[in-house]
Amino acid sequence: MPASLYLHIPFCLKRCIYCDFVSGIYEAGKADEYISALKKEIITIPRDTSFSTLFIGGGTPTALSADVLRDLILHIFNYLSFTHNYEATIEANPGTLDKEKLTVIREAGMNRLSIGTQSLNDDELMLLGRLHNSSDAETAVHMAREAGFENIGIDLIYGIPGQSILSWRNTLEKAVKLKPEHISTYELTVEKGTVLYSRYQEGILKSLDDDLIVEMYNHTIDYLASEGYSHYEISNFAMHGYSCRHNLNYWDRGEYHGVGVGSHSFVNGNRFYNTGNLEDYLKDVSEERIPAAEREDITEEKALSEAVFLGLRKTEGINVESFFKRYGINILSQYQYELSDMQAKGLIEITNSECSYETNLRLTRRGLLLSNEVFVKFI
Amino acid sequence: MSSNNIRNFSIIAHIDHGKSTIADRILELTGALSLREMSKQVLDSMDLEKERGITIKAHAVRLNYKALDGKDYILNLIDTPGHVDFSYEVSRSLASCEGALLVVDATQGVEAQTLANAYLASENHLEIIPVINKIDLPGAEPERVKEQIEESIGIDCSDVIITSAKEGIGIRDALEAVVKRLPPPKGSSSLPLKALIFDLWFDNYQGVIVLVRLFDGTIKKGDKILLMAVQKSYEVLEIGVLTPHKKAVEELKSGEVGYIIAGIRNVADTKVGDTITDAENPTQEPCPGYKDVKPMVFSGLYPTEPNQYAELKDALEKLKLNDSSFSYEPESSTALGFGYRCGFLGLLHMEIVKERLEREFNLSLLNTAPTVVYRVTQTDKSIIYIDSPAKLPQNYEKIEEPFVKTLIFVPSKYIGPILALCEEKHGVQKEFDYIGKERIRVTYELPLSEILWDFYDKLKSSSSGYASMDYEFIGHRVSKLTKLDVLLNGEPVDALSMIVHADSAYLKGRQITEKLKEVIPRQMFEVIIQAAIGSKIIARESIKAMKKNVLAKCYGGDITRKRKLLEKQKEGKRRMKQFGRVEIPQEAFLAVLKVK
Repeated sequence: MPASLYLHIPFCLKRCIYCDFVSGIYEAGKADEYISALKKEIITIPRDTSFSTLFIGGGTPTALSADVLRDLILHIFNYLSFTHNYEATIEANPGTLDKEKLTVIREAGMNRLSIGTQSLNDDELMLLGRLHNSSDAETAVHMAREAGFENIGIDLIYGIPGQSILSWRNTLEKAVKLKPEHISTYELTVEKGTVLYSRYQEGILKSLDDDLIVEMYNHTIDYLASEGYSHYEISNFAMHGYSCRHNLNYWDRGEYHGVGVGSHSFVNGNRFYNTGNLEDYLKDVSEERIPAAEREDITEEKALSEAVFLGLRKTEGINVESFFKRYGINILSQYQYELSDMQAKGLIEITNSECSYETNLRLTRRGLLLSNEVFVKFI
Repeated sequence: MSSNNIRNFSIIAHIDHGKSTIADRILELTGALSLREMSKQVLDSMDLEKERGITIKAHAVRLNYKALDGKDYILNLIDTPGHVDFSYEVSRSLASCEGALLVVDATQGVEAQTLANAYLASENHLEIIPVINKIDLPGAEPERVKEQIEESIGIDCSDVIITSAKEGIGIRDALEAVVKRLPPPKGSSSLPLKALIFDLWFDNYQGVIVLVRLFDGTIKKGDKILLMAVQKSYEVLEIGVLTPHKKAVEELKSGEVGYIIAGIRNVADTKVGDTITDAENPTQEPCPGYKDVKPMVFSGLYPTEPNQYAELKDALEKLKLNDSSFSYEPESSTALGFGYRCGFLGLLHMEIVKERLEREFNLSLLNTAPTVVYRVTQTDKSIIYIDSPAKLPQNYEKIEEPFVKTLIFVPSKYIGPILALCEEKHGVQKEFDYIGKERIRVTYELPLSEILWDFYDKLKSSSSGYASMDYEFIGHRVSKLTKLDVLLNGEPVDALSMIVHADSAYLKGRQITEKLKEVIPRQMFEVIIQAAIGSKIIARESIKAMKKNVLAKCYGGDITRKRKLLEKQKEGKRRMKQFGRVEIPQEAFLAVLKVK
């Protein structure tokens, strides 16, 4: 099975109030130094590895200049081999895009763009501390089409303080009009250490009522389905054939290499991750040391629990037969007691139970919303 | 050495007035320990004691002292526990002495425990030497403290000892005073053996080791001894003194202090306060003051994981070998499963036992709200004692609860809120005196249950920390009490029941339901919380059903983070107790404590 490659670009022009990813403010000199280190780390990956997906995430990869991006992307494709039908995604902030940059990225070999749109309501964008307004976001999609991108994803956030169901519907409708191939909708989550967290603590911002968030989520599923987007993972929707293969590989527990500060890898059944400190990362790479901060051996027990909580994130769920083939466990009999309890609570369902090849274990609509309650039973 | 050159003494003080530091300095000065051997405050040797800064067990150490008169003396320093939970042990330690150093902080002055300890010392006919400590501190007011001591305790302070244990000032003066002002022990070595047990502990290799003070007679290895209260005989295997290391000696004589090892396998066979005598030639009269101390406070201890029940049983058995003052018996609760009903001397004792069980035996325990022992007269006139609200019979003639006499010492400007607090807690005022112009000593008779909860904290907070207290049990009295039940989705949760004063039942019912609403997390269905007296519902709250619990966010390839979040949730659930379909966190069982 070909592997996936993730590259992390830890720079942004401005930090959003909800963000707790590894990222700092962009600075040309620092960025150059970092890209050199990245390139150095890339060539430590065994050359015989075959890749089918690439994901350049951040931070804001498009905070880098067109020249730097071209150089980096060409380096990846020169050094590593990719299958002919590879998927190569780059995350983009609408506030950092122009026609030239998009063309350069596309021509260098990237074929999928994931645009951090977040909202198409200007007040909400301002509250979140985004660089751009809603018309920038719309323009970005048009420019990307002109630059030759045929696979565009849009990320949206719901549950923003002050957001109404009406405003969320509006954002979704505007997004659909742009005809992206892929839409991700994430509930705004509050992470410790973020500006958002302290605003909640201080009482300046208030979280939305759970009932409203549930209504937003349910509306998203129903509305996007009516527009032809299939709901294939808790937070992800795509036109037929446009599911994000890179992310599916995470949920299928496929192999992936992570390159760059704070990035994660899963190779030969082991998980390890690089240091999240930029200076440490630069120092390690310049001194020819592996920048890994920690590695974790995945025991059989852990592998099993991962397979369940990752597999059930997908709306098709877990195929009982292939699960048995890969992990040697009949999930239906192994967790008989838990499963019947959760079935009774309306959290999970078992499809086509007479034919094992087509029997899948999957979350119900209610189960999607209460998925952690299901997952903990397998931890 | 003649008993004329022996002095047996204690150091008594209010908490934090410097008792342990003075003890350390005395050990240092008499060369009992080299500085290197001394970790800070050696007499408080248990880890827990060091952390809490409170002496839990009594200790004794034998010191050699060459006094300024050129003669050699043996000084036995007997340390006393520093908490009201252990007041009986304090009294037995004091009964083993001829005198005491009463240490008072030069900045704080006389406090409740200063008074309580001084009274206890007087009751045991001890000679008291006042010591004013912490003289080095900027706020020290030795003159004012002298007056306070004279006025409140009535001891002459014309030759008070002034010390700073921290700086090593005045320690020799204190030792000279012990030699000159305390009487040597009376009694005779030619009379039959009469020794008072003032402390004991269990040693894995040697069995029970008892600390004794000999009042008459002598004891040697091989002697046959009789423990008078428990009526058991043993042969002495080893005797010795603590320096503070154990050091075997040939013989202990009248007036001396030391340890005895006699192959006693069970701490329950030995009691603090019991008298040891010669089995063949017993003394006519045992030492006075022996009491069989009974636990005052009871609480259920349950393993958070049901499969730890057997380990808890084992741990309780082992701990009981070391501490005979707590009790345990199996109990089962519909909400909590199988556990033990444990009895303690007081709340501190309860916390200590729980902490030791968790720490030394690696258990995770849940304790239910502590309760006192009620005396219930049943309809057939028979009397039962109940240590758990679950045991209260449906019908009874009357119910009585334990009362304590509480001594409070407080600067006069805070007296208002303190009196209000005592009234609120159903107290009856018994005494009220000014000590000097600024301080008031007030005594109240209060239900023990009322001071168990938050009384001490409130006392402190309503007096900016200046009020201090001490209490003693005075007996059971009739009160208007009623049982308050808590129901979750219509089912009574036995471990949440409590016995409360009838006139505050409504208030408490409301408070407990509100508190539970705060601490019980949302479940996948609505949870109704009700408080009831008999079949009458007096308060109701509800917790809305959980609508969502989902990780929407995509953390890239960081699967570890996702799993850790789930593991944390799992851990949270593991710590909860399943009651029917409702998951109840530990805090819920202590929520009853939080109601006023």
